[in-house]
Amino acid sequence: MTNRFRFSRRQLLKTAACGFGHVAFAGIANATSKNPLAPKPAMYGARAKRVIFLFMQGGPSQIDTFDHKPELVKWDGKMTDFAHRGNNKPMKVLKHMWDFRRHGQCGQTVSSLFPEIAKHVDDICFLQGMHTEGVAHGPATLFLHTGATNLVRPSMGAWISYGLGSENENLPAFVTVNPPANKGGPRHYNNAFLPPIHQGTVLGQPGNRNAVPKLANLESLLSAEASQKQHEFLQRLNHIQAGPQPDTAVEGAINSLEMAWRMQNHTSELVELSRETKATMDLYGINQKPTDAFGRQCLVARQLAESGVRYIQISHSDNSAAPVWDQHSNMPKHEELAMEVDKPISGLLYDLKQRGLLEDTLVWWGAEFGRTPFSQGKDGRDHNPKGFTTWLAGGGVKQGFSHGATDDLGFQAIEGKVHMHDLHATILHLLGIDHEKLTYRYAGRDFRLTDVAGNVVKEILA
Amino acid sequence: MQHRFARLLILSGSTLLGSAFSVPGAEVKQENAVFFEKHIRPILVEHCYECHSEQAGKRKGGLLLDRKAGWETGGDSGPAIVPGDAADSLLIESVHYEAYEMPPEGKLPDKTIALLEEWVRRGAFDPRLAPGPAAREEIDIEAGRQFWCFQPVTRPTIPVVTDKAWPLGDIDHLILAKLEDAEITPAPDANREAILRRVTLALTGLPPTVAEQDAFLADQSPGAFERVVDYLLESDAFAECWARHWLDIIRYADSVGGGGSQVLKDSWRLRDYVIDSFRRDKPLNKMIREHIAGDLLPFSSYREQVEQLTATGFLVLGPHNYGGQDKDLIALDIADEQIDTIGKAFLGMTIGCARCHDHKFDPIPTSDYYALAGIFLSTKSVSNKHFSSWFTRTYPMSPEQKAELDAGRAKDKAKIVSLTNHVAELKKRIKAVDKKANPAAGASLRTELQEKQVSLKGLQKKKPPKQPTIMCVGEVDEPKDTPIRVRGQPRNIGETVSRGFLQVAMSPDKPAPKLDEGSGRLELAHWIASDENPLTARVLANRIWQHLLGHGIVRSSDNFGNSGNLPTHPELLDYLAVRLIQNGWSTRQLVREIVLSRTWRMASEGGDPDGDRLDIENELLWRAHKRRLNAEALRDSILMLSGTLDSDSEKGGPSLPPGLKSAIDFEFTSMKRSIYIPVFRNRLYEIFGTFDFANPNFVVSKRFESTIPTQSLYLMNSPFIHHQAQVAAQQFLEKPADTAAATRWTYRHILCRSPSDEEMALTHEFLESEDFSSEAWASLIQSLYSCVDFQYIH
Repeated sequence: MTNRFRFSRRQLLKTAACGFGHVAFAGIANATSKNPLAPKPAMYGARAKRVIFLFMQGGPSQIDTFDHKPELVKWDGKMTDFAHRGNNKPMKVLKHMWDFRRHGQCGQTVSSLFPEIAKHVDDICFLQGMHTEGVAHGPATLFLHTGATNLVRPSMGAWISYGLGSENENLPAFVTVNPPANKGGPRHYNNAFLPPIHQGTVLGQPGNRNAVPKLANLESLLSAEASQKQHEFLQRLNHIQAGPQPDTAVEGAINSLEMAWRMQNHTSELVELSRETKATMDLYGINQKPTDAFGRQCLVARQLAESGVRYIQISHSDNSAAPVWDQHSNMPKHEELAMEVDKPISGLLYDLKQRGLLEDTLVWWGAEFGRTPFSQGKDGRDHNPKGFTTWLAGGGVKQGFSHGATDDLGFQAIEGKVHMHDLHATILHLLGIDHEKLTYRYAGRDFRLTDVAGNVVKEILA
Repeated sequence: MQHRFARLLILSGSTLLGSAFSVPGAEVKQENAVFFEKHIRPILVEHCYECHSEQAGKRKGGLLLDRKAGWETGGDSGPAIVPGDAADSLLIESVHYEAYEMPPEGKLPDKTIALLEEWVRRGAFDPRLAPGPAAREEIDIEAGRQFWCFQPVTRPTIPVVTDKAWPLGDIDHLILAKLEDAEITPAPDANREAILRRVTLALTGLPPTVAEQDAFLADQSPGAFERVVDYLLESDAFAECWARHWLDIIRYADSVGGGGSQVLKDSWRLRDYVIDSFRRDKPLNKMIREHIAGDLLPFSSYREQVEQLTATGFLVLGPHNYGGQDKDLIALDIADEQIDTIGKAFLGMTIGCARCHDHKFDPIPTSDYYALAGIFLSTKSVSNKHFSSWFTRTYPMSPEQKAELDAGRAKDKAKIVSLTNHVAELKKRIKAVDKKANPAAGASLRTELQEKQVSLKGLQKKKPPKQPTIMCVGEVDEPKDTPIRVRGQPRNIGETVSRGFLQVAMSPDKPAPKLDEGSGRLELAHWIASDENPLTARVLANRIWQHLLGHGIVRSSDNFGNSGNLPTHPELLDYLAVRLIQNGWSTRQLVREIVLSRTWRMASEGGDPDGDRLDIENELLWRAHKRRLNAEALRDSILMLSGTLDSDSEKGGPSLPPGLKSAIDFEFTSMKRSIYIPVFRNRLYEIFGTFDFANPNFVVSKRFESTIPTQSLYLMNSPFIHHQAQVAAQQFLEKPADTAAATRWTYRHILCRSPSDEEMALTHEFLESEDFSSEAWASLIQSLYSCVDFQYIH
């Protein structure tokens, strides 16, 4: 894989050494020995080098998307006892609102909400017995991202950044595009007690799924020429102030300024979609309604993956009190939302595959929980952490495979149960990290993403 | 019990039957052995050993299932099997997914479960006779007390040093003695420009003005530096800067964080309380007492009452998820956060570790944790309505307000009486009027009656003016001890423990106080804030040292335990703790003594050429640590230098506009000092978030000092810095006329020193290339805001 952002020393000297005796300085700037993001080897054979997490905030309904329960039709509109399934009173069943059809060689059923994703079922590994902690969005969303419902813990991406470093010296290891601003907000990409370099770098704007995915302060407010002059002046001034033998702190500051300058001048292409062909843009549904915004997020995710970012999260989210997929009433809205993401996600899977990236990139689609098979109001569904579906594709998981199941009405996971801790452990495993060994000593004890739980789901490993 | 008895009868019955048919015991044993080997061992190996065996090196939940003694002793929840009694065996309950859900990957097939039940019913024959797991070691409190930080604080002897000329006071003797032992010479004093910038930033978070530089450089008399220090210590800016350090350790915030983004509209009172406390140099141990038990302390004035109540906002300020469904868990999590915060902030102890098991490194048993938990579970911190929320009270009324209200009420009462009479009178008159003879008179009377009735109703319904609320705590009606939650699980109830403190830090000679009146919070506050507590004064003195020198004497300044660092200078730490106590826990006195030491005034560069080789971490302090400008000092300095710092409008007061519901809607536009900018847990102000502001979810004893490219991007390209540089350029250009003088003035203004010749030449070249335009000056100023000599304190 060619890496557009990794400079050879020679290239660096060429770009940096424009007057003002920058050659000597470049020597310092190029020193990466103390870079806390320097890539670290995996603990054992990694099946994936990076993760793209497609977060559907609010909780799409499993029984209307990937978990087909014909039994629901029989019970539709009737009160039934959910007590033995762990709910305290009888509830009125609401059958799935979209038709299911078998797809691919594997014959996985997918509802008509996701006709494009359905074309990829032979590449996908469905986890249909997911369960998690937290009934409200706040706790459950924090649990999804940090493995804890209440205590402040580092986000999964921060753990991975800490565990593996960045493949690209010009880019952070953990990038989150338009992350959710509510239900925990920055805690979802927080480093907590890990060093701040591991916190998620935000592209775009938290809570706005339509924001353009760009890094803040990447563009100079000065003209190109003035900005260049200012930078050269500043680095020369720093050089004078640092003296002939700068200490590590000052050296780090000068280094960091140089990296920022490189990001500003070379990696701004990172979020520049214009160099992509029209065919690619079309594949993702860019410049088409209603797929444009999420299409851009997906394409940026692919570019970040290509550039060596370890953990990329893109979010279909907003900042309202009831998150975007949270249909307590008006389940039909799922259709509108599915339209926004179906084609872009399909495009991403195609594109990753045709570029050979799917082999070592793990794509993860999911939410903080699923929804109930019984109704809320006329046509809504409530939160359901007891059973829901998540899927993985690419880096090291079985293809065209389905693991686990919910009960006959799709309410509670009963077979091949995968707790969110288990999913975390499994994703780390695929990255070549033993979740029990990825620890950080803070306030007198070793912490880890999976706390004292988590089992790798071996059944789904390819 | 009855049920057990019945089983016993059946069991003995079958034994009787057995003997009646005279089945030899050996045969039964043989049968059980075959059964075990054929069915049970494979199940245990396949499904349990991964987490509960020596070969896997795992003993989850404290349980081993690779030997008989393992399940006999059991794990944290007690024995796993009651032989003969499947229904009462935890192991069986767990495979049924009742007590626990084992194995976690999925329930075993019914057949397998039936085999396990059968095995237990038959008496759980188990030939695996490996010795039992070692009993968990009990924590030896007395041995724990031998660790340095639990020893009483004692005034050290001041060592004799060879170089008699260098030390100015006791601190310097204690530092120099160690340097002489290591054969390192202390660095020379920092130059006067550097020391003025250093002291002004360290004490106030702002740089010295050019006028202040001129005055200090001109004053060559002996007490010049002392006078500067005293002047700074008396300033409001000192209180604002040092209050911010305190807010870091009490995890101050203006929103809850957690899963929601509710704002804490009353937090500002706590912030103002802290600033005011530093302004008045309130004893630090008094602040601690007020934070923990201000609602229970006696008061002699209204002001004191309000102040003390406000201080307890500290306990309810944590980042909680009030959205959780499980109210018991919320209560436990809040108590946990309070214990953890108090432990780290005031005691330098990571007590939170003992929630689920005895502390792995420090002599803190789980029982100590729940002794403290009992205190906080007996404290009202949450208001549980449909949605839980933090506890508030109505703001107490001042005597004046009360008097005014009473006077108003008396007036109203009198009015009500007279109006009632008037109404009755009017009614009578209306009745008396001959309607037909005089319709007009009747109508006017009725109109009057209506008017009077309306005003009467208004008065009767009048409510006292709505009082603001105050975040604080209270005592529950029935304070009580709480049981241990095994493994920290809310519903896994263990033994109940009496409320109390940390045994290891308590004097063995004094009887433990009886906490049966109230929650015990008041006693806890007094114990923590006491002169005798071996931890508190050390922790606070260490932190003051850390803020001034860059590193604590104990570098892990929120963890004095076994997993923390040892003090580099234990005698000095005790000396500082003693001085703190002697001076009535005054921050100012200790700060003054430290900055007036020769140690504090050393240069940050140069010094002993062997220093780097002998002590690269500079633990012995052979020169000053170079410091990074923190987020607030960076912002406030830039605002001050550009002349845009708002120091005129009222300083404290509410930080949030009335009615603000969510942090997302807030606009950061204030030009006040940073301490007055709201701190939203889910949305930090951009410059704070970029420059390592304290994470408001935690006790932050020492901030990170990261150097990351997003900081450089912020300095180069953010509209804020860009704008500030332009504003500054406009102002500076009005100053000296010629370029050289203007350059010199600009350097002195921003970097607090004159430029070197090299810098002068470079700057001239740069300005010249841009035709000395105002844009060029703005660009120069922005560069100076970004350069290393501005970002670092020498």
